[in-house]
Amino acid sequence: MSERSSLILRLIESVDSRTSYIKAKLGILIPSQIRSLRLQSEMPRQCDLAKAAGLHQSRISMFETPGAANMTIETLARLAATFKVGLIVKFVPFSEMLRWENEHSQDHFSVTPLAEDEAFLNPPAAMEESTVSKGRLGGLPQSSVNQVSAMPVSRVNPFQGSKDSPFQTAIGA
Amino acid sequence: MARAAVQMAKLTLPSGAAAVKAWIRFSLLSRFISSLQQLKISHIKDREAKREILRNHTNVIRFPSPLFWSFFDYVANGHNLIEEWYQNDLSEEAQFTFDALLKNQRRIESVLNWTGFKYLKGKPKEERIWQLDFIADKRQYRLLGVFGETRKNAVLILGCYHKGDNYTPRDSLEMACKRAKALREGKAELHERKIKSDS
Repeated sequence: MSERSSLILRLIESVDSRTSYIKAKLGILIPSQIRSLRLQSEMPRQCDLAKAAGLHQSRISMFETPGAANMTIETLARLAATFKVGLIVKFVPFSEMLRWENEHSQDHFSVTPLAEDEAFLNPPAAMEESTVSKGRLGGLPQSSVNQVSAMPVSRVNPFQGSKDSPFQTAIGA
Repeated sequence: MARAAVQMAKLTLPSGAAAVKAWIRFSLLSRFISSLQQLKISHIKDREAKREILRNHTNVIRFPSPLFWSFFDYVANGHNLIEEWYQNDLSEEAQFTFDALLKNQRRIESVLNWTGFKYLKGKPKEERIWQLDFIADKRQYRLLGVFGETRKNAVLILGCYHKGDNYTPRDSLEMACKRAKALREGKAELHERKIKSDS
Protein backbone atom coordinates (compact mmCIF):
# COMPACT_ATOMS: atom_id res chain seq x y z
CA MET A 1 0.00 0.00 0.00
CA SER A 2 1.36 3.42 -0.92
CA GLU A 3 1.95 6.03 1.77
CA ARG A 4 -0.84 8.19 0.43
CA SER A 5 -3.32 5.30 0.45
CA SER A 6 -2.38 4.47 4.02
CA LEU A 7 -2.82 8.12 4.98
CA ILE A 8 -6.27 8.23 3.39
CA LEU A 9 -7.25 5.02 5.18
CA ARG A 10 -6.13 6.48 8.50
CA LEU A 11 -8.04 9.67 7.85
CA ILE A 12 -11.20 7.78 6.95
CA GLU A 13 -11.03 5.49 9.95
CA SER A 14 -9.82 7.65 12.79
CA VAL A 15 -11.24 10.88 14.12
CA ASP A 16 -7.94 11.50 15.95
CA SER A 17 -6.02 11.30 12.68
CA ARG A 18 -8.40 13.73 11.04
CA THR A 19 -8.09 16.12 13.97
CA SER A 20 -4.28 15.91 13.82
CA TYR A 21 -4.30 16.48 10.07
CA ILE A 22 -6.56 19.54 10.30
CA LYS A 23 -4.63 20.99 13.25
CA ALA A 24 -1.34 20.51 11.39
CA LYS A 25 -2.54 22.37 8.30
CA LEU A 26 -4.04 25.22 10.31
CA GLY A 27 -0.98 25.30 12.54
CA ILE A 28 1.22 26.06 9.56
CA LEU A 29 -1.02 28.11 7.30
CA ILE A 30 -2.37 30.54 9.91
CA PRO A 31 1.06 31.59 11.25
CA SER A 32 2.29 31.85 7.67
CA GLN A 33 -0.56 34.22 6.78
CA ILE A 34 -0.06 36.31 9.92
CA ARG A 35 3.66 36.68 9.20
CA SER A 36 3.02 37.56 5.58
CA LEU A 37 0.37 40.17 6.47
CA ARG A 38 2.62 41.67 9.14
CA LEU A 39 5.60 42.01 6.81
CA GLN A 40 3.44 43.72 4.17
CA SER A 41 1.65 45.99 6.62
CA GLU A 42 2.62 49.33 8.12
CA MET A 43 3.61 47.37 11.23
CA PRO A 44 6.44 45.14 10.02
CA ARG A 45 7.79 44.67 13.54
CA GLN A 46 6.10 42.28 15.92
CA CYS A 47 6.06 44.90 18.67
CA ASP A 48 4.25 47.40 16.42
CA LEU A 49 1.61 44.84 15.51
CA ALA A 50 1.27 43.86 19.15
CA LYS A 51 0.76 47.49 20.14
CA ALA A 52 -1.84 48.05 17.42
CA ALA A 53 -3.71 44.86 18.33
CA GLY A 54 -3.48 45.49 22.08
CA LEU A 55 -1.55 42.27 22.63
CA HIS A 56 1.87 41.40 24.01
CA GLN A 57 4.76 40.97 21.55
CA SER A 58 5.43 37.47 22.86
CA ARG A 59 1.92 36.46 21.81
CA ILE A 60 2.51 37.70 18.26
CA SER A 61 5.73 35.71 18.24
CA MET A 62 3.77 32.68 19.45
CA PHE A 63 1.09 33.16 16.78
CA GLU A 64 3.79 33.08 14.12
CA THR A 65 5.38 29.89 15.43
CA PRO A 66 4.43 26.96 13.20
CA GLY A 67 2.04 24.61 14.91
CA ALA A 68 0.98 27.07 17.57
CA ALA A 69 -2.60 27.19 16.32
CA ASN A 70 -3.98 27.56 19.81
CA MET A 71 -5.74 30.76 18.88
CA THR A 72 -9.33 31.62 19.59
CA ILE A 73 -11.56 32.98 16.87
CA GLU A 74 -11.71 36.17 18.92
CA THR A 75 -7.91 36.56 18.69
CA LEU A 76 -7.97 35.88 14.96
CA ALA A 77 -10.77 38.43 14.51
CA ARG A 78 -8.71 40.95 16.48
CA LEU A 79 -5.68 40.37 14.28
CA ALA A 80 -7.81 40.58 11.12
CA ALA A 81 -9.27 43.86 12.37
CA THR A 82 -5.77 45.19 13.07
CA PHE A 83 -4.67 44.30 9.54
CA LYS A 84 -7.93 45.86 8.26
CA VAL A 85 -8.90 42.69 6.46
CA GLY A 86 -11.76 40.22 6.80
CA LEU A 87 -11.69 36.67 8.12
CA ILE A 88 -13.56 33.58 6.99
CA VAL A 89 -13.83 30.46 9.11
CA LYS A 90 -15.76 27.85 7.18
CA PHE A 91 -16.09 24.10 7.03
CA VAL A 92 -14.84 22.62 3.77
CA PRO A 93 -14.10 19.24 2.19
CA PHE A 94 -10.61 17.82 2.73
CA SER A 95 -9.89 18.35 -0.96
CA GLU A 96 -10.49 22.08 -0.58
CA MET A 97 -8.21 22.20 2.42
CA LEU A 98 -5.50 20.42 0.45
CA ARG A 99 -5.99 22.83 -2.48
CA TRP A 100 -5.70 25.76 -0.08
CA GLU A 101 -2.44 24.33 1.24
CA ASN A 102 -1.08 23.60 -2.24
CA GLU A 103 -1.95 27.04 -3.55
CA HIS A 104 -0.82 29.01 -0.53
CA SER A 105 2.39 30.93 -1.00
CA GLN A 106 3.60 33.10 1.84
CA ASP A 107 5.57 35.29 -0.56
CA HIS A 108 2.56 36.01 -2.76
CA PHE A 109 -0.14 36.08 -0.12
CA SER A 110 -1.84 39.44 -0.04
CA VAL A 111 -5.22 40.70 1.09
CA THR A 112 -6.68 44.02 0.04
CA PRO A 113 -7.15 46.19 3.13
CA LEU A 114 -10.48 47.82 3.80
CA ALA A 115 -9.47 51.30 2.59
CA GLU A 116 -8.53 49.91 -0.84
CA ASP A 117 -11.28 47.33 -1.09
CA GLU A 118 -13.28 48.84 -3.96
CA ALA A 119 -15.59 45.85 -4.19
CA PHE A 120 -16.65 46.49 -0.61
CA LEU A 121 -16.60 50.29 -0.63
CA ASN A 122 -18.38 50.67 -3.96
CA PRO A 123 -20.18 47.45 -4.77
CA PRO A 124 -20.59 46.99 -8.54
CA ALA A 125 -23.83 48.61 -9.72
CA ALA A 126 -24.46 45.73 -12.12
CA MET A 127 -25.02 43.38 -9.20
CA GLU A 128 -27.55 45.73 -7.64
CA GLU A 129 -29.29 46.23 -10.97
CA SER A 130 -29.52 42.54 -11.70
CA THR A 131 -30.94 41.96 -8.22
CA VAL A 132 -33.42 44.74 -8.72
CA SER A 133 -34.51 43.65 -12.19
CA LYS A 134 -34.76 39.95 -11.36
CA GLY A 135 -36.09 40.17 -7.85
CA ARG A 136 -38.41 43.10 -7.64
CA LEU A 137 -39.30 44.11 -11.17
CA GLY A 138 -39.76 40.75 -12.79
CA GLY A 139 -43.12 41.56 -14.36
CA LEU A 140 -42.48 45.15 -15.52
CA PRO A 141 -41.77 46.14 -19.14
CA GLN A 142 -38.11 46.72 -20.07
CA SER A 143 -38.55 50.51 -20.43
CA SER A 144 -39.74 50.88 -16.85
CA VAL A 145 -36.95 48.60 -15.62
CA ASN A 146 -34.43 50.90 -17.30
CA GLN A 147 -36.01 53.96 -15.73
CA VAL A 148 -35.95 52.43 -12.31
CA SER A 149 -32.43 51.13 -12.72
CA ALA A 150 -31.22 54.61 -13.55
CA MET A 151 -32.47 55.83 -10.20
CA PRO A 152 -30.29 55.57 -7.11
CA VAL A 153 -30.72 52.10 -5.68
CA SER A 154 -31.62 53.32 -2.21
CA ARG A 155 -34.67 55.14 -3.57
CA VAL A 156 -36.05 52.23 -5.55
CA ASN A 157 -39.36 51.06 -4.23
CA PRO A 158 -41.51 49.75 -7.06
CA PHE A 159 -44.53 49.46 -4.80
CA GLN A 160 -44.46 53.03 -3.50
CA GLY A 161 -47.77 54.79 -4.23
CA SER A 162 -49.21 51.73 -5.92
CA LYS A 163 -52.58 50.35 -5.01
CA ASP A 164 -51.10 46.87 -5.16
CA SER A 165 -48.38 47.63 -2.66
CA PRO A 166 -47.94 44.64 -0.34
CA PHE A 167 -46.95 47.07 2.41
CA GLN A 168 -50.22 48.96 2.10
CA THR A 169 -52.12 45.70 2.04
CA ALA A 170 -50.28 44.57 5.11
CA ILE A 171 -50.91 47.87 6.85
CA GLY A 172 -54.52 47.88 5.71
CA ALA A 173 -55.05 44.37 6.97
CA MET B 1 65.82 90.69 -55.46
CA ALA B 2 65.50 86.99 -56.22
CA ARG B 3 68.76 86.34 -54.39
CA ALA B 4 67.45 88.15 -51.42
CA ALA B 5 64.28 86.05 -51.48
CA VAL B 6 66.27 82.79 -51.63
CA GLN B 7 68.43 83.98 -48.75
CA MET B 8 65.32 84.91 -46.82
CA ALA B 9 63.90 81.45 -47.58
CA LYS B 10 67.15 79.84 -46.41
CA LEU B 11 66.98 81.92 -43.32
CA THR B 12 63.33 81.19 -42.59
CA LEU B 13 63.43 77.48 -43.60
CA PRO B 14 65.40 76.34 -40.60
CA SER B 15 63.06 78.18 -38.30
CA GLY B 16 60.07 76.71 -40.21
CA ALA B 17 61.56 73.21 -39.96
CA ALA B 18 62.13 73.74 -36.29
CA ALA B 19 58.52 74.77 -35.94
CA VAL B 20 57.42 71.67 -37.85
CA LYS B 21 59.71 69.56 -35.70
CA ALA B 22 58.39 71.22 -32.60
CA TRP B 23 54.85 70.66 -33.79
CA ILE B 24 55.60 66.99 -34.52
CA ARG B 25 57.22 66.63 -31.11
CA PHE B 26 54.25 68.32 -29.49
CA SER B 27 51.72 66.18 -31.34
CA LEU B 28 53.67 63.02 -30.53
CA LEU B 29 53.91 64.04 -26.92
CA SER B 30 50.22 64.90 -26.72
CA ARG B 31 49.35 61.62 -28.41
CA PHE B 32 51.57 59.82 -25.95
CA ILE B 33 49.94 61.63 -23.05
CA SER B 34 46.44 60.95 -24.37
CA SER B 35 47.30 57.30 -24.94
CA LEU B 36 48.66 57.19 -21.43
CA GLN B 37 45.47 58.79 -20.20
CA GLN B 38 43.39 56.35 -22.23
CA LEU B 39 45.45 53.51 -20.88
CA LYS B 40 44.87 54.79 -17.40
CA ILE B 41 41.14 55.24 -18.04
CA SER B 42 40.84 51.81 -19.62
CA HIS B 43 42.82 50.41 -16.74
CA ILE B 44 40.47 52.09 -14.29
CA LYS B 45 37.50 50.90 -16.30
CA ASP B 46 38.87 47.37 -16.34
CA ARG B 47 39.51 47.56 -12.64
CA GLU B 48 35.98 48.84 -12.03
CA ALA B 49 34.56 46.14 -14.26
CA LYS B 50 36.57 43.53 -12.41
CA ARG B 51 35.39 44.92 -9.12
CA GLU B 52 31.81 44.83 -10.38
CA ILE B 53 32.27 41.22 -11.44
CA LEU B 54 33.69 40.37 -8.06
CA ARG B 55 30.93 42.28 -6.34
CA ASN B 56 28.24 40.43 -8.26
CA HIS B 57 30.18 37.27 -8.81
CA THR B 58 27.02 35.19 -8.54
CA ASN B 59 25.73 36.95 -11.65
CA VAL B 60 28.64 35.89 -13.84
CA ILE B 61 27.18 32.49 -14.55
CA ARG B 62 23.47 32.64 -14.37
CA PHE B 63 21.96 29.32 -13.40
CA PRO B 64 18.18 29.18 -13.37
CA SER B 65 17.05 29.43 -9.76
CA PRO B 66 14.92 26.47 -8.67
CA LEU B 67 11.31 27.34 -8.01
CA PHE B 68 11.15 25.51 -4.71
CA TRP B 69 13.54 24.62 -1.92
CA SER B 70 14.67 21.02 -1.70
CA PHE B 71 15.19 19.33 1.64
CA PHE B 72 17.69 16.55 2.21
CA ASP B 73 17.99 14.13 5.12
CA TYR B 74 21.28 13.41 6.82
CA VAL B 75 22.30 9.80 6.22
CA ALA B 76 25.16 8.18 8.18
CA ASN B 77 26.28 4.55 7.78
CA GLY B 78 23.23 3.85 5.67
CA HIS B 79 20.83 5.14 8.33
CA ASN B 80 18.53 8.01 7.47
CA LEU B 81 18.61 9.65 10.88
CA ILE B 82 15.91 12.20 10.09
CA GLU B 83 13.49 9.59 8.78
CA GLU B 84 14.19 7.41 11.85
CA TRP B 85 13.44 10.37 14.11
CA TYR B 86 10.30 11.14 12.09
CA GLN B 87 9.01 7.57 12.30
CA ASN B 88 10.01 6.73 15.87
CA ASP B 89 9.87 9.97 17.85
CA LEU B 90 7.11 12.04 16.27
CA SER B 91 3.45 11.66 17.06
CA GLU B 92 0.97 11.58 14.19
CA GLU B 93 0.15 15.27 14.70
CA ALA B 94 3.84 16.16 14.78
CA GLN B 95 4.42 14.21 11.56
CA PHE B 96 1.59 16.08 9.83
CA THR B 97 2.92 19.39 11.14
CA PHE B 98 6.47 18.56 10.07
CA ASP B 99 5.26 17.74 6.54
CA ALA B 100 3.08 20.84 6.31
CA LEU B 101 5.94 22.98 7.59
CA LEU B 102 8.40 21.79 4.93
CA LYS B 103 5.71 22.10 2.28
CA ASN B 104 5.12 25.72 3.26
CA GLN B 105 8.80 26.66 3.65
CA ARG B 106 9.91 25.30 0.32
CA ARG B 107 7.85 27.93 -1.51
CA ILE B 108 9.33 30.85 0.43
CA GLU B 109 12.18 32.48 -1.48
CA SER B 110 14.10 34.04 1.41
CA VAL B 111 14.91 31.91 4.43
CA LEU B 112 14.60 35.01 6.57
CA ASN B 113 10.87 34.82 5.89
CA TRP B 114 10.61 31.19 6.91
CA THR B 115 8.30 30.87 9.88
CA GLY B 116 10.07 29.61 12.99
CA PHE B 117 13.54 30.02 11.45
CA LYS B 118 16.65 31.31 13.22
CA TYR B 119 20.41 30.84 13.16
CA LEU B 120 21.80 29.34 16.33
CA LYS B 121 24.32 31.14 18.50
CA GLY B 122 27.59 29.93 20.00
CA LYS B 123 29.43 26.96 18.55
CA PRO B 124 26.64 25.93 16.15
CA LYS B 125 26.92 29.40 14.63
CA GLU B 126 30.45 28.56 13.45
CA GLU B 127 29.00 25.64 11.53
CA ARG B 128 26.20 27.90 10.22
CA ILE B 129 23.57 25.68 11.80
CA TRP B 130 20.02 26.99 11.79
CA GLN B 131 16.92 25.91 13.59
CA LEU B 132 13.29 25.51 12.61
CA ASP B 133 10.78 25.57 15.46
CA PHE B 134 7.40 23.97 15.41
CA ILE B 135 4.87 22.98 18.01
CA ALA B 136 2.72 19.87 17.90
CA ASP B 137 0.83 18.00 20.61
CA LYS B 138 1.96 20.70 23.08
CA ARG B 139 5.63 19.86 22.51
CA GLN B 140 8.24 22.18 21.09
CA TYR B 141 10.14 20.45 18.33
CA ARG B 142 13.40 21.67 16.86
CA LEU B 143 14.75 20.82 13.47
CA LEU B 144 18.43 21.64 12.98
CA GLY B 145 19.94 22.04 9.54
CA VAL B 146 22.51 23.63 7.27
CA PHE B 147 22.29 25.02 3.77
CA GLY B 148 23.78 23.18 0.83
CA GLU B 149 26.34 24.56 -1.58
CA THR B 150 23.86 24.97 -4.42
CA ARG B 151 20.94 27.34 -4.28
CA LYS B 152 17.75 26.43 -2.42
CA ASN B 153 19.10 23.24 -0.92
CA ALA B 154 18.73 22.64 2.79
CA VAL B 155 20.02 19.66 4.74
CA LEU B 156 18.16 18.50 7.84
CA ILE B 157 20.79 17.17 10.19
CA LEU B 158 19.00 16.60 13.47
CA GLY B 159 15.56 16.58 15.04
CA CYS B 160 14.98 17.08 18.75
CA TYR B 161 12.70 18.59 21.42
CA HIS B 162 13.20 21.70 23.44
CA LYS B 163 11.89 22.69 26.85
CA GLY B 164 13.11 25.66 28.83
CA ASP B 165 16.78 25.89 27.93
CA ASN B 166 17.26 22.18 27.44
CA TYR B 167 17.36 20.15 24.30
CA THR B 168 16.37 16.48 24.29
CA PRO B 169 18.68 14.67 23.63
CA ARG B 170 20.94 16.88 25.74
CA ASP B 171 23.87 16.72 23.36
CA SER B 172 21.74 17.76 20.36
CA LEU B 173 23.81 20.84 19.56
CA GLU B 174 27.16 19.03 19.82
CA MET B 175 25.80 16.22 17.69
CA ALA B 176 24.51 18.71 15.14
CA CYS B 177 27.96 20.36 14.98
CA LYS B 178 29.62 16.97 14.42
CA ARG B 179 27.15 16.11 11.69
CA ALA B 180 27.58 19.46 9.97
CA LYS B 181 31.34 18.97 10.04
CA ALA B 182 31.01 15.42 8.71
CA LEU B 183 28.87 16.78 5.88
CA ARG B 184 31.47 19.37 4.96
CA GLU B 185 34.18 16.74 4.99
CA GLY B 186 32.11 14.48 2.76
CA LYS B 187 31.80 11.80 5.41
CA ALA B 188 28.02 11.71 5.34
CA GLU B 189 25.42 11.11 2.67
CA LEU B 190 22.22 12.86 1.75
CA HIS B 191 18.81 11.62 0.82
CA GLU B 192 16.23 13.92 -0.74
CA ARG B 193 13.12 14.20 1.37
CA LYS B 194 9.71 13.70 -0.15
CA ILE B 195 6.84 15.46 1.55
CA LYS B 196 4.68 12.60 2.81
CA SER B 197 1.20 14.10 2.69
CA ASP B 198 1.81 15.76 -0.65
CA SER B 199 -0.84 15.27 -3.29
